[in-house]
Amino acid sequence: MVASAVFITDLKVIISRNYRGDIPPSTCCAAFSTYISETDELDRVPIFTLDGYTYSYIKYNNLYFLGVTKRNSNVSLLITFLYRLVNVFKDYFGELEDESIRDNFVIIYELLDETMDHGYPQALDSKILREYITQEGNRMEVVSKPPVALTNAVSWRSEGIKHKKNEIFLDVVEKLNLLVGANGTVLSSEIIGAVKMKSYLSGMPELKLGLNDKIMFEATGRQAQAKGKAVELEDIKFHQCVRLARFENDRTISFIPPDGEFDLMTYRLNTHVKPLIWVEAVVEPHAGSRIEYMIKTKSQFKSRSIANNVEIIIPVPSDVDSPSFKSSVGTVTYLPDRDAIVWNIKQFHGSREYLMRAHFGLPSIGAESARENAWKTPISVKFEIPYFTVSGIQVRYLKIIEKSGYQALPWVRYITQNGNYDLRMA
Amino acid sequence: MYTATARSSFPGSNSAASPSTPPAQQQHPQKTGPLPPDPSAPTSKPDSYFVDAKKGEVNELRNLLRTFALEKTLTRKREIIKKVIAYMTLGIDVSRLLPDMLLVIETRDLVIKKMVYLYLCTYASSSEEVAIMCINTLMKDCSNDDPMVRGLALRSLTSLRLKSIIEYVVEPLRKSLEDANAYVRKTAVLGVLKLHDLGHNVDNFLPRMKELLDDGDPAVVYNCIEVLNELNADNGGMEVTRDIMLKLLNRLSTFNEFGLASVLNLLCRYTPADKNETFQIMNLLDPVLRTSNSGSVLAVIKSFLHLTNSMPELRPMVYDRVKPPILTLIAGGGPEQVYVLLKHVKYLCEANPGMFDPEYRQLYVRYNEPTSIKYLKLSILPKLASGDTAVDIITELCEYVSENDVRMAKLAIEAIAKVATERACQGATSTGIGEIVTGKLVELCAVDGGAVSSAAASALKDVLRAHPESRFSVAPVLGRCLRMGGEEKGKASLVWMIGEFGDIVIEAPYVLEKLVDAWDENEELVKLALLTACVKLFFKRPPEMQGILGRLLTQATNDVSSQDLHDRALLYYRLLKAGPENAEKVVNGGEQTIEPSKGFAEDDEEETIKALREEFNTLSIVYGSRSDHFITEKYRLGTSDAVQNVTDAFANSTVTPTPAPTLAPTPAPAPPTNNDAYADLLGFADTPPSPPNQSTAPPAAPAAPSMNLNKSFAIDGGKFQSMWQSLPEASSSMSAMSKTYTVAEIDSLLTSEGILTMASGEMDAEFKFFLYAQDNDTASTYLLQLVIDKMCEPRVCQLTIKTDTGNKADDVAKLLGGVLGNAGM
Repeated sequence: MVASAVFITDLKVIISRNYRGDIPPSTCCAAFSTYISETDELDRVPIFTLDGYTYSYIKYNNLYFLGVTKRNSNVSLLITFLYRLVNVFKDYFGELEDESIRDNFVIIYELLDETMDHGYPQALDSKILREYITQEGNRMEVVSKPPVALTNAVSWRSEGIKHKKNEIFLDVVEKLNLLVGANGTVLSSEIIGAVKMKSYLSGMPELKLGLNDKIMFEATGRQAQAKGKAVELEDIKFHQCVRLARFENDRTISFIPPDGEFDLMTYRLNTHVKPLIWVEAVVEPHAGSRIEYMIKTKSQFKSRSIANNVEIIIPVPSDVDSPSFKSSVGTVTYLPDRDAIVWNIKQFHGSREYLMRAHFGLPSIGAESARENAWKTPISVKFEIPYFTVSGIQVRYLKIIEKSGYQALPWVRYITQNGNYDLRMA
Repeated sequence: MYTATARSSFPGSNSAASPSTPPAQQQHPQKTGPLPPDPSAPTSKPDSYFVDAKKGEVNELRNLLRTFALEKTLTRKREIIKKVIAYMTLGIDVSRLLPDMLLVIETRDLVIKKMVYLYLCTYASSSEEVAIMCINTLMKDCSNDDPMVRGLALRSLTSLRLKSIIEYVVEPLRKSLEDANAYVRKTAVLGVLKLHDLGHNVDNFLPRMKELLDDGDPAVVYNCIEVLNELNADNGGMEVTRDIMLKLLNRLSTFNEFGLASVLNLLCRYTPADKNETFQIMNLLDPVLRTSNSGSVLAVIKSFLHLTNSMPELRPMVYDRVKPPILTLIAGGGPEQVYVLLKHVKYLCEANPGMFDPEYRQLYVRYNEPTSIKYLKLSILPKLASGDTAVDIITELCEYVSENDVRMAKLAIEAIAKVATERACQGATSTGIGEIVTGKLVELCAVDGGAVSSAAASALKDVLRAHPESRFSVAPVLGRCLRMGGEEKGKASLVWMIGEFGDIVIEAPYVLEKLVDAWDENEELVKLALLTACVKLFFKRPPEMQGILGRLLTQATNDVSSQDLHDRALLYYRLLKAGPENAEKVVNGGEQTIEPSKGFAEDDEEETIKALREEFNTLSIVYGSRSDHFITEKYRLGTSDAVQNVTDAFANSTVTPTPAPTLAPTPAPAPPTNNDAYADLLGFADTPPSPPNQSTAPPAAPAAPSMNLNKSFAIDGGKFQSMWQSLPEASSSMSAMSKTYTVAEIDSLLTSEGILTMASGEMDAEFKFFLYAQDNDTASTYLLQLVIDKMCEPRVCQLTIKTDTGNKADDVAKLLGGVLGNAGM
């Protein structure tokens, strides 16, 4: 893939880099701004071609990251590049918005130069970039060297890393995507899992991770022992540090970790999951006077687990007034700007059931159609259940071997969160 | 415009300030604007760089730059340069500072160096002579001890884009290609391409570049592949040998995702030696599907498709293998990435029907998704419907209909109809699905008498053409729906259906009568549909319709609002006059239903699918059309063999695969009720209306003009020339040719039809013919000039006709068009 130029814009160019000089930057940027401001939001697509220039962009906060090319480029790579660029900037500047771009323009230029040359992506790993592009820039005294990692086979880790305390943190995070139809049947459910690591290990450690992976159990003949506990992961993706060939052979996950935070692996399970938090809504509209809601929610996981910070978001018509609520637990708030009520339950124990009633006034004349639409917005739920994974995945061991022979402590946490968790209203 | 926009984006900047202050003021900077921050007080807040862009700013900067050498601390020096760059970022033209900036270039501070180099790369071309002064420093830095500086200097040196300095660049570049440090080497490799783009011959570097394909550093190799690809763009990319390919594949795991993608791209132009090798390569690629990068995953899919080209029996396994990774990426990716992936899913569904069928639930539309993704999913869902899942999918699609968004509702309705008209309706369950879809659409038809019911009516019409057996459940509600009103297109569809199934719609004549009586209130599409519907119904229920039809035809022929309408009414009138039996044959002649397994003709895109396989994982898939339709020629890849074959296939086929940008006149906008039978009839309407004295004659013969030309007619060159010069132009037209002929072929084809050649010749860009013919009936002579542009694809011919007494110039043109197989002549 090749990009002629990259722009960072909030519809007025903030910073741009014309890598190849084969496009007129101001014209292209003006064309892009026109597209964004004049195309109906419903019709906008992330990739479009105008006058032979192809624009592909991603939106982050209020910023657009735009790549322009004249060729039949590999668009998924171009978009990947833009995502990576955003990650690099985020890593450097924390929250990324127009102010942080403007405040750091010098370093942005440096980064734009290192991440792409003549339209071809170069180094995009912020950990590596940080080693030779620093905010302080005080390197007058020290002769800077391109990091070995740039040329090393282990491109994600530099040699000679030292930590006082050798620790590694492992978070197994599962997100539950769920769609329940108006009639209460589960239309689709899938689990997106990730094993996230924070590694603070010295030297060049060799790590080996053991999971209760069904296929591995089968391969090693442990079926009987692991009966009912093994998990069949459907599609696993690894960080580039994992030796893929080894995994293909004997399902061993072995790797040299990068330093700091990274996602070791992600997986997806497309299995039928019982909705962890079930919500039922009975709505009684009395046109022209009032509307009443009865919301019933039920936690469908083991009673020893607790869901934290549960938010049940129920859409209401846009023209309701004088809200009043009655609930057995938690607090309820009406958010007029989102046309919704939010029921907050700080701690929701497993196998419990709660009720909430909401009462609103309705204007005597109102837009019936606006009310019609309110039914169609689904109820969505946010939650976090610690010490629990829906899939049942477990870390069995994490072995750390380094030639200096230090003892390192692995810390493991499990958490299940809502993903795209929607229940349609009847 | 650029400057103004950029400047106004920063609060406090004065957009009235002009960056180009007259040179006279240089020595006496205006004191009216606020002073720049006191150099002795270093700016602590970086955003203050952007606030004082006031009048005289560039001059202030120049003065600041002149104090640069006097500044003692590094921080302050940096502040000064940073200010210049800040102005540059704002879009203010600071190119006039070039000479002053050059004085600063001799610095040991890397931060300042980078900023000055950036400035140089931006403004060097504004003043070549001055910029050349920086060459020495840059060249010296190219041999600095610090590889970072070497790389930086080389990158800047090659990015200046100045032709005059090429001679200075060549030597440092050659040295850098041999540099011990990979960072410098990878910069040098791209430097070669930059020289090439400046128009310099880089053949001398090629041997070294080929060596670098073996470099120990993957980043160097990656750059090298891309550069060689671009240098050989005319041949479709760098030469791929078995040796190179296997070496690259063996170190596949060392590349980053971008390198990986470019190696895999090469693989798509490599043919493995034997089956064994193919399998080995595929095993090698398999782990890449485990990387969480959509670019690499798509690249592997493309490679798999390429490798199995000769082994179609493996394709199902390939599709099975690649499906889970795609779905995972869709479940977890950012919206833009998901958009691209879904486009690929859509393509795969078309190329390989059934592939994603079991996964249909994962492609359900979610409430929060961006509309680009929602709409895309709606176009994919009907493709996933099979006998078992169709009901689920239809139910789900119905959920979307009442969504807030009317566009969404319309698309959902179209999607519902597609479930019935596309391949899903094959096999035993076919009837069932037709019934279900019809039932849902009938429900929707009666919803609101607005956009939704109109869309449902149009969709219903399409479904009934594929499933005529469902008409019995539709017939009873048609009248009621029509009375509800709605949009033009929907009403026209309802009228069409009433005409088509008038025998079972009891109240049909009375429903139509109302519309006929309120003729002027109808929209054009409705009027057109009404015309056809009434004529059709007349054949089915003559006694009830006779009076209505009479009134209708009078009104329609007197209606001056639309030529099309007027002509069609006249046509029906004359047809009926010529005898109802014949008229019925013409009007009801064509088959109205469509073959369920085939779907509509416009949905048939087999050729495109084949061509797109070569361009998988590029923009072509996103647009669903080949790259030469949207990429300027200069930036296209040369045709590799594989692509060539496909293009050949196109040249030979008579169907234009996609809406190609030809010069052929676009066909007249077809009314919604159009079908084959009508298309023929409408062809008539294009011929000039017959003079009134001929109106008693039977309706004109079929569209093809019958010309009786004198095949033994001859005139000599002198006469031809004098006639050509004296006669006025009778007809001139332009059209695309679907076939490519040689001069001799055209000559013999035309002679056999009685169009004779006076002279012909081939020029660089065109064929030119001077032709003549004589009409046997009227003895009038026609002179023709035919110019065929051979640079265009398809070829375009331009025809000019002159005649002495004849009035059939258009018929001659049609005849010639017919002989040469022209489109739209």
